[in-house]
Amino acid sequence: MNGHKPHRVRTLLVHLGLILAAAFMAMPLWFAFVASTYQGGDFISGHVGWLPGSNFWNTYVTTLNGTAAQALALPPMGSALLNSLIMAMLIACGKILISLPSAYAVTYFNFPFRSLCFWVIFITLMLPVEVRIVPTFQVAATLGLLNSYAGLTLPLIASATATFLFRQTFLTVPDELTEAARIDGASPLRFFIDVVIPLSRTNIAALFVILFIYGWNQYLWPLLVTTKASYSTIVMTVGRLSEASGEGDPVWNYTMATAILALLPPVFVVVAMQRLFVRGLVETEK
Amino acid sequence: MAAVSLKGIRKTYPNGLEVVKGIDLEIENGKLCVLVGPSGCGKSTLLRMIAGLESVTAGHIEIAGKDVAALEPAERDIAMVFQNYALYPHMSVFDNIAYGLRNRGTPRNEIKARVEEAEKLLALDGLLQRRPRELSGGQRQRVAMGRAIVRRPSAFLFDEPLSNLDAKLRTQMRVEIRTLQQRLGVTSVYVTHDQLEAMTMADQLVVMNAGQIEQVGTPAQVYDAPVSQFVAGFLGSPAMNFLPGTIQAAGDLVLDAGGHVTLTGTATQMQGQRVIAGVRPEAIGIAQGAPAFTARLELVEELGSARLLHLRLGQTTLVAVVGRETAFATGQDLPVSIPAASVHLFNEKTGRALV
Repeated sequence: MNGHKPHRVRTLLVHLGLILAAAFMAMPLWFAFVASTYQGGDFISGHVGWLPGSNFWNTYVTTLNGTAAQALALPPMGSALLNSLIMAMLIACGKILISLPSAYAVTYFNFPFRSLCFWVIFITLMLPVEVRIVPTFQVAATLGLLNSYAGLTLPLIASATATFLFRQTFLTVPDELTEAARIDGASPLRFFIDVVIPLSRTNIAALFVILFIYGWNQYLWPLLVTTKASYSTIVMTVGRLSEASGEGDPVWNYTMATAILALLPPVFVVVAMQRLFVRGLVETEK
Repeated sequence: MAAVSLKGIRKTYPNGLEVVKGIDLEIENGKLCVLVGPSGCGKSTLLRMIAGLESVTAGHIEIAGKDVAALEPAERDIAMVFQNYALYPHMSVFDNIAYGLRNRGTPRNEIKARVEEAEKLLALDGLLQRRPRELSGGQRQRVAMGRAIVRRPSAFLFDEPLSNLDAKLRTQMRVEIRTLQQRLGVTSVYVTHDQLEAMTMADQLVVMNAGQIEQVGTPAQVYDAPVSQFVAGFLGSPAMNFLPGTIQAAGDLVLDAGGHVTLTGTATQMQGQRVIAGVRPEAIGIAQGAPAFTARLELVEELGSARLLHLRLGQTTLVAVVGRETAFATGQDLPVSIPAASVHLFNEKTGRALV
């Protein structure tokens, strides 16, 4: 029995280390939550401690029913959440729908300038929206895309990450499957729908999670391309709340409450798709 | 009528490497033709050209009397069984077998009937709803067979279908495939590098080497009368013994390693010629009749049904198969006899059979 002891101590220490690390990572979230449960002014005056205050109910009700936003002349919470959801969904689905066929084309078909095509797609990885923001804004404005969902999402949909990832996935599908399908009389489109997409299921899920969060967290581009309050996203609202100051005091309690609420949908997506997500990242066998 | 007919087939890769160098072959209706040879001999490439998965550089391929040069694999009326089975991992066994029929627009009830027929034929009862990863190697192999037979094609193509199975299962599946092929009477082309598989399964045995056909015949013909040293050495296990020597007087072959072998027939007229004598391990006699030479016994391998004797004669070693009646001790000098009728003679330079 003695032999087990050092083992158990080690396990305990390892777990303690892991718990401390997790707590450390979670600390900012905890403070955001604690701040949201006090009066707006308490945060600045330094009265906020480790434990939640008594204002929880009041803050969240007024944040959710829109009275807080109304008082500050900001767009209502509900429409901002909806806008964020639409934007994140459009970006995630749009990217996946465009990347699947483009990756299929550059992986399975031999056409002139195929590798050139691939590298041109690949190079866009080095030009994210932030780098080309002025010309992209110019194009969006010329096309009349300001203050529209198309303007919010289209420039963010065009990118190489997903194409590149799907290409890597498709390369792991054994050649013999392609040959078996050819002998089975499957057209290229049938093979794509019946074999390639089902085999990429977990990768699609993993990518959806990543892209949803990417879309949800967009800040700079929505700020530029929308001026109407009806297109305001939740992340923009958090930004505006932190600047707004109602009757003098900064409204940190509402800012933090909105930030916490803005966090919930992405967390829900991750939790809901966690199993597929992890499998998509670690699975190699096809 | 030949079910599969190949004329002057060549394959050159864009980098200039020629892997198939002019193949002419006729496979009769309902026969199982085995293409056998070492890896890199072009047998798989040839099969893939018949399937339409690989382009043909030159030559004609006819399947069931139809020139298939311009046809897609799906239009060639063939079905193929792959080495790794190539089952669709996300589909049930039923869907795997039915996929080719669905793509051809076969009516639903017809598909169901054919898949159930295959299920009975291949003993896949109760497995139709499973995924391939839930099946054993032998069962996956049968599903791959099922996918081929429901199509009712003019020809089956097998690309080393048993090489992923363990030895025991391989023997069993070998018998299953052969029985099924005979029962269905479908012309088949079967590629393997395993000479035992080739010998046991073939109606027509095609031995290939370096992109060319070395010999075509029934397994017995090819085994008994190999046209070259390559064929002689490739077929049979343990492999044939090769002993270089010179024919001195009429019918007297003097081996380089020492000893005399008596020859008969036309070989007696080849005085002064350098030859390689090939002798199958089972033809060698130990302590029977007039000995050709004496050899030292270096190792005895027990097979259960017989014994393998590894003998040393000068610088060469040879293997003999003997029964288990007599016990031999290693280190012994044994009188070795070689019956004249069992000697195959090959040209020392070209490796071609002399006679």
